[in-house]
Amino acid sequence: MNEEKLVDYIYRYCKHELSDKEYTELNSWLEKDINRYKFEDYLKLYKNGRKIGCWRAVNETVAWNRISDRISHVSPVKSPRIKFWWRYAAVVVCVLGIGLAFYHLAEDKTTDLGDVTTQIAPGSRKAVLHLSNGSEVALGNGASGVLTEKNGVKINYAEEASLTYETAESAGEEMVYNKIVVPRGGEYSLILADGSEVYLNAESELTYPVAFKGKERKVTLKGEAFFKVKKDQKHPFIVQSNYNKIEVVGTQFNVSAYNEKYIKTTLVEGAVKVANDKEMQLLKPGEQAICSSNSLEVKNVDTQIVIAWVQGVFEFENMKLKEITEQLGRWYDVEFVFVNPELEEIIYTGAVTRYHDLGFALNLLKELSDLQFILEGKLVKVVKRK
Amino acid sequence: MKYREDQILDLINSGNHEGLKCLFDSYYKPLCVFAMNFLDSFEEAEDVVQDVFVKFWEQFSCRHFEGSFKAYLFSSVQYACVRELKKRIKYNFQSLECLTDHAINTEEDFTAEYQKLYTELSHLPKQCRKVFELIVLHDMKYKEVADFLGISVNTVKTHFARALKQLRGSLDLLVLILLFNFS
Repeated sequence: MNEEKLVDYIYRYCKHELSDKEYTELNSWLEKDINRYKFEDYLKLYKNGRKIGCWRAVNETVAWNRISDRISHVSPVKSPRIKFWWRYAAVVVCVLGIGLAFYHLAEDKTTDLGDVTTQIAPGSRKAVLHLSNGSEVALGNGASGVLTEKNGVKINYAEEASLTYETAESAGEEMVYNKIVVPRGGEYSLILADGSEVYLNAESELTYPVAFKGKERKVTLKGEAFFKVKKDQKHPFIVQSNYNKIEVVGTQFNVSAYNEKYIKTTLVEGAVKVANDKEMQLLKPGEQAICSSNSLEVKNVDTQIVIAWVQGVFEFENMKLKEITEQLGRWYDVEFVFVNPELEEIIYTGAVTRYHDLGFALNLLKELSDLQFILEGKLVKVVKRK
Repeated sequence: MKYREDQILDLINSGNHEGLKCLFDSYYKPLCVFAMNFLDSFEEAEDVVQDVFVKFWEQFSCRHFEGSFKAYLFSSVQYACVRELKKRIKYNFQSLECLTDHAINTEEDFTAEYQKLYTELSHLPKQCRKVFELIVLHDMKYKEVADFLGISVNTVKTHFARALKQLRGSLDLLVLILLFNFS
């Protein structure tokens, strides 16, 4: 690679404008040491030059005026004076490979792991499939095979793949239902007979027809799932959770129905109608509906945060420790008990991979505030430090 | 006016803008430079840092804050930058680009570094130097530089590459690299 091309690639790499092909090309070129040294030198030169430029270009007066204007319009959120620390701890950045790899940036501090063992393994792909005849099939842990339902529909399951439903030509008119139950500490994904994909989080259940008949494609959900629904305008896809009914034509959205009292539907792409018995709302991408039995509110959210779990990451923004530990509990299959209840209110913003053991996530939380976690069997006690 | 950290805390807790201004004076520029590790645009870096300051005020003008202001601010900027990047990028050479620690270089440091850069730039042919300055110091894109100088984008790329190649050969700038602790 000549100088000119390299410099161009570096420039566009820094601006995130390289195509996949160019990235791959650069990557393989960098396998040679002398190429790497060149790359590093030019990259450093460029980046340091940019930093000098930034330093010189910043106009502090203008910047402060902007900030000052913005904060003059702010009415501070009133909240009880609670002691807490704000520091994020670990962030995950996506790295391109053909399979995505995750890179960790944890603060390099040694903390005692004395009171939290690292033996609590993260969740994994596992679930139980309930067939129409009542029999149960264990999914995950290397299980694989093909089943046939009474109406002829074939079901494929394998270790790293989604549970897949293939409609047989001869499938009868009768509605045949299956149910998939994902336990605490589990996750699973399936592809329904119409090609729609469903990603189920821990402690969730989905009941659905093995072949879709009639004018609707209807499924029932408990817990949390991310849906990628295949477009079919003639047959709306319906997700029912309690009194919350979601109607879609073809789209991507997340449903969180852990809390029986209110169910959150977040739309990533496409369009959905969300309804309870009393009212109905049409969502746009980036919106979230919060539905209870007698109310239905819509607000804007950062969808990346809501669906981070599908990509293997816990992500939370301004989330109370209480809710964080609920999520951790479901995934690691432990119960959190707050010995000092005021600790429930501590707020965090951060992200951490789901695939490390529990000790990793807890250590990050510990670093950010005055608390410690004591493990007793499947119970994790949360207490104030000191 | 130079305040101690606990005085700044008091100012902020009582909703006094002066407290935020103190943090701004100490950390705004270093935070923008830090954001440049991720974002490669002066405007985006400033936007992110300003958002962090505003959010900080929203949170802490009426709530108790504990810990290090510096650590909080740098962490928040880093988190905000990475979130921005997640929306856009699919790749990163993490093994070659270890993200920096939160070193703060002083006004004197930067002035010295700029002097060195300036000296080296003066050895470059005129167009090469112009192109380098516009891209690196004035945050302009290839096309903007081409239009500004009345040359083609390809010519801009050629001049830019030549500039970097020549600068790479300079001892003074290698020292510049070390000072910024970018390893």
